[in-house]
Amino acid sequence: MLIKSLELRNFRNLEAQIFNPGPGINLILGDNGQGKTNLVEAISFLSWMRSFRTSRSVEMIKSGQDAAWLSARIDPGGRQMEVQLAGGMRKVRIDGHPIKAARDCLDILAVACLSPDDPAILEGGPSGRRQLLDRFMVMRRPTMGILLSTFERLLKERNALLKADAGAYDHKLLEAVSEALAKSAAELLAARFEALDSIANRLPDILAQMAGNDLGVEVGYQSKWFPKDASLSRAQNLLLQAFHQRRDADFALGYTTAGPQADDMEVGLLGLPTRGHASRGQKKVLMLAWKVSEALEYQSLTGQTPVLVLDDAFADLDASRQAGVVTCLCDYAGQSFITSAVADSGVLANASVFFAKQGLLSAMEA
Amino acid sequence: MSAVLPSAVVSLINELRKLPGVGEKTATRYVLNLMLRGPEGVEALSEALASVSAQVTPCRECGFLADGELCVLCLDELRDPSVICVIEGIADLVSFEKIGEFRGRYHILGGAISALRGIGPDKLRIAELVNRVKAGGIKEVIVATSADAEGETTALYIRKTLEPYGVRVTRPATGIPMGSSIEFLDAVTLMRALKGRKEL
Repeated sequence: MLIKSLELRNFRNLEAQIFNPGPGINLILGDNGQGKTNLVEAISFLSWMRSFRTSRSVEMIKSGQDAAWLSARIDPGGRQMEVQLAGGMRKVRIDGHPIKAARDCLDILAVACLSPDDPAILEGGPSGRRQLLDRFMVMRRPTMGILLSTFERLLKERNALLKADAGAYDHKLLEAVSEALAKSAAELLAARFEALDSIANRLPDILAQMAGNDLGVEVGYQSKWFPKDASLSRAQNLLLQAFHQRRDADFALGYTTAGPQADDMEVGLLGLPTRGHASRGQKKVLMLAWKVSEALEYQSLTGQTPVLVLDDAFADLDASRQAGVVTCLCDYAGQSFITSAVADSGVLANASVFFAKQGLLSAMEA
Repeated sequence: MSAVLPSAVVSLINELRKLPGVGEKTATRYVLNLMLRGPEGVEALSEALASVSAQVTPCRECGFLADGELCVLCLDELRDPSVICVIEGIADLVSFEKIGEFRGRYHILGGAISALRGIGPDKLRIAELVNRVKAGGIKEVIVATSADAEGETTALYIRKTLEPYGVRVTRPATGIPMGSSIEFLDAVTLMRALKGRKEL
């Protein structure tokens, strides 16, 4: 998959322009605040139909304007994707037809994107790490988005019942919702494990290649209700038991305390959790390796190369790790976008280079 | 546009806009076309609407549209009265009838349970279903609600509600899509397919 051209109008601080990236590495250079991350956001938005920075589409519209447009030509198939953001609404057309669901875009353009805040995921609360895993799960199999939204919906349904008066609730209805939620949770767990396994198989090699040595990376799933090594068919029953045991506590709190919505993904380096132990540079290189692993796993599953986007790829890395990242990028068979505030000579030789200045991207002559 | 139209025309446009797939433009086109047909054309439509309102009522048994107490499907003696297919709405009945494979009777719930949207079991035709089962002669209830959060909850609720009556409660299968090979299936589809396996 690759973006042949991208037309932008009123998207953040970017000037109206048609951006024609190359099929391989695209290096976007520029000082801070010139629009590099805005471009990254636009590319990521085309695939996910959501921004990694904001849930309010109005923030993506240039100030003083009513609407923003993105229009991209995407291969294979020369598909035309058009996005209009206006009045808090998003209108998306593919080849002139309105899309049915946001995941229609994932089928046409998959993007593995390292956004500026991603390395902090390793340090923050569990929700960021769950989201990292769930996004990859949906990217590699867009239908898993339905599974995830069904689970989230059922959780809200159960929580709505728990907010009612504990003495007056419909016992049979709570049981029905709990059973539906447990079934959906077990399926979500199976999908998460599948996604996690696929990353865990790839990550150590990519990380060793980038970091220059084996960092002993380990990823694991952490759950308070689902014990390690239990079979998946037991998950549904275990969760139902947990719901039953915690029912009074859940009623007191007004929400469901057990389930995949409270799980975590543990990422360790050299036997220590990254949280509280890994350096800034280690976290950065780990997340870069994660994203490259996502892209390679997607490729091996679907036979298509997703677009790889790495924002501020070289910041916080020492020279040897920068060189490691460059080697990985040069090996990648698909299209990639790398932003950096400093020119890296290792990439320059193989890349299409663009300069971002005051919201305008201009190609550097070869 | 609506500023220059007579108020009766505007209110008809507003009524038509409540229909699915009809926006202001389409509604205006419909109304202006009706005006071109003259009083006769408008009255024919008006009479048709009035008779729908006066004559068509929900079937006492299944909830489908009927022009008497019972609908044509519940009156059809060739259909098996011992199997009931429970569905959310009339559109689902139409889908089942299109394939022509099901020769039992239906039961339309009128929606699905959602605590979030304030739709409890009492707002649906679940008590009527229980009454039909209680009345006897029912061997199987197929719960064909949607495979989403509300549909699953509703199906499980119905199973629990019918438990005391010893009737067989089934749910349509989900599993391996047509033409796909096992190797490339996702874990969830494979899990569902294995759970829902049946005798060869």
